[in-house]
Amino acid sequence: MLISMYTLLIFCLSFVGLLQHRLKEKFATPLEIRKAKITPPVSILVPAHNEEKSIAASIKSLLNLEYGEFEVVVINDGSKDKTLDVMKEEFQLREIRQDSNHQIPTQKVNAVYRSRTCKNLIVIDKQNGGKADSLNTGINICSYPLFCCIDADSILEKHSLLRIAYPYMEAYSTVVATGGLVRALNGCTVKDGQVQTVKLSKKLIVNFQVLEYFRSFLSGRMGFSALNCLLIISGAFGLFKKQVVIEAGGYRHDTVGEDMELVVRLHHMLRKQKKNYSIQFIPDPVCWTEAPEDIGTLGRQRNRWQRGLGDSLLFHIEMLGNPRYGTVGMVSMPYFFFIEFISPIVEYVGYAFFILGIAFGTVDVRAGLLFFFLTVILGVLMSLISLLMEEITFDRYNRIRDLLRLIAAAVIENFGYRQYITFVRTKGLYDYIRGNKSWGVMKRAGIS
Amino acid sequence: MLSILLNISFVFTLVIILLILILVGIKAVNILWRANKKHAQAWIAPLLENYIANADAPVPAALQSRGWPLSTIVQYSVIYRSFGKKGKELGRIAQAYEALGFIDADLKRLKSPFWWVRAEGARCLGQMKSHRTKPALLEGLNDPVKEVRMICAWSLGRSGETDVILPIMETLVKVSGLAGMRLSSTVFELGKKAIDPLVQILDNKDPAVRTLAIHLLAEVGGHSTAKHITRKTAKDEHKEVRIAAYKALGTLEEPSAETVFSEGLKDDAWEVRAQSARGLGMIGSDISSGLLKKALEDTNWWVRRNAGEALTKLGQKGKKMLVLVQKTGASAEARNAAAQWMDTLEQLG
Repeated sequence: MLISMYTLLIFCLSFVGLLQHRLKEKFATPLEIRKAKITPPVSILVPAHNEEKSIAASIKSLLNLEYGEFEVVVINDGSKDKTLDVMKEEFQLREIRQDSNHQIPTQKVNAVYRSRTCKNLIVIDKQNGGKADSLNTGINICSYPLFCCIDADSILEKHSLLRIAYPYMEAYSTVVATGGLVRALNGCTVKDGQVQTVKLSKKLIVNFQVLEYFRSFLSGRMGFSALNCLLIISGAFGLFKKQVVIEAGGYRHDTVGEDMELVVRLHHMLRKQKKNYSIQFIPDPVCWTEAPEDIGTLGRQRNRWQRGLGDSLLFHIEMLGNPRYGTVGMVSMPYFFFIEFISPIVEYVGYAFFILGIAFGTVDVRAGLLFFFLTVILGVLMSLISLLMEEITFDRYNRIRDLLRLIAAAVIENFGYRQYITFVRTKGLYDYIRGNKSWGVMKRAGIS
Repeated sequence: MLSILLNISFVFTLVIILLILILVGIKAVNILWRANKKHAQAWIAPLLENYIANADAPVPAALQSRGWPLSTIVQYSVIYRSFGKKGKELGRIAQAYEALGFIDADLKRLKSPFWWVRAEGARCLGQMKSHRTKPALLEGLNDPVKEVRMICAWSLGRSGETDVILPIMETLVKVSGLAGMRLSSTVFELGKKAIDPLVQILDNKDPAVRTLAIHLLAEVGGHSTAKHITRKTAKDEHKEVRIAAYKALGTLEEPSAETVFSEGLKDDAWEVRAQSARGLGMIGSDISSGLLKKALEDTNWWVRRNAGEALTKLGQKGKKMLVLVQKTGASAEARNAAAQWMDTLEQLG
């Protein structure tokens, strides 16, 4: 319950931040930003490993982005399927030599290709080294001072890059990273690499995740961003200042949560150097990504997230509760450590306490049930507040049917789904202690 | 204990029910608002079109003195109709806007305690290029909220009067250099009229204002402004101003700047060297190929990159230099860069 109350406080902060952002962005529309012709050049890095189903659609969507100068750099991370062949055929790739700024050590690059049809498309074929290694290779080879990392199975909205780059236009010298909102693509219709109609999936498991995304992005990250202590920029969509990332040493290979770890490390480094900087979350540039549709993939994904969280927190444990690190040490690190990292254990201990208490007669059955009921109510309350934020600000699911489905999901998720997620997170914690560093197999339907 | 838990649960349950009702209510209001707007626009649009097309026609009575929400729908229908319009057509739309009393309403909005209402009022006034509201908008340049100042500056820029350039630029620079550049793009609407005031601003004491003036001059003024911009490449000038000046000369593709760029390639600041290399490529003069060959061997990656790109634009002489560096370049980086740009050149055909 304490956890829920703390989360509720962060929600309130997010709510204010979100409303402020919504009002401010009305006065800096993408069209105005585009017209100004001063968008900083951006390299979009797309690590791809066995993505033959979705890679062509993803690249097409990226090439159609509304932005000034940008290049798309796809890093084929030793795919065993036809990812490279699909790209070669679709974009008429031709091998080139490339003068790269080798500042971060990476696996060997086999070849660099440039498209004959799209001048701003570069494909790097390299030996398998994982997502972090692919991104580091991209950083070494890309041309521009800002790089945007996105997942190969994701779709960016036309104006997403303009939006996510806007903070750099406002305060280039202080902004070091910005992150955007990730939404579930399942259920939506996609045409020419763009989302045409936004609809909810018919699968309950996806709708639970839609709610989780709302809670995490709209209600959590917005609040932390307002306090300049945002610890996560999703690997699916983030824009970074290349030089600062290189200075920090690039992405780490020895973690499965390389996206979060990099952001925590940037905070750690810049706060230690007493630099004036900001890492911001911008809620309206949208990246659509496929949410897992089966329980096994979802479990593996959450298990990995939990292990990644563990790495990110424990590598930088020095900041936890340390006032020298300001809001990062005093607000977000404690939140992620106590509420996100070890809360699954607390939750299970709570369940065990009540069950054993009832069994031995030390806890009143009615009190136990009431307590459980209260946690359910608080869970529903948080989901509904997130939903309210979405309704007031973005209203992307504009059918009333979708809203009712989400309200129903907010109630149902507390009976089974939430306990399952707690279980896989506990398992993730256990695997983390055992030193498991695997990614696990992710089943994807693919963007058609 | 049990009763406390029960009471808390009861309160939270009520809150949940209330939230669900609010959510459904908001959704219903949104759906109704969209439907109402669509319906209203269906009859507003022909009336507006008819008014704009007939110069002597009075403002349609059906559009006047409407209560909320119709008045808002009418106001924004007029605003949307004005997007992308210029000259007489915009003048006619602005006439309707004034006659319907929206200018006065916007002036009232400029005094609202809520910053977003003030900003929206300023935006509508700017969209309609209302001249009589200039004093109120100038006052808005001192608004405590950044967004309001930016929108007021934008609106003043649209008014087409040169005396607003300096206050606009000073306001925008205080907000942020880049935001300034973004919104000052509206100064472009002034066209050639803006050149003289901008040339004067080149001597402003604030380097950020001078930088902004250079960017704008390059966009608005064309080649006639090159000599003024060249003045700002002097060694004793502020570094950011010099970088902007080199960049602007490159953007202008100013042939007379070749000597300036050659000098720039020897500068201590890599940003100046990179802009000079870019500029030489933009001019496309093959006399500079020797200098670019040297720049291709620079220690800074950005200078090498721009020099390589520039050489690809110089035809046979550029190609010759790329081949030369590829074979005999002083460093591996230079040889790699040359190889890369040779590939690009081949690809460009």
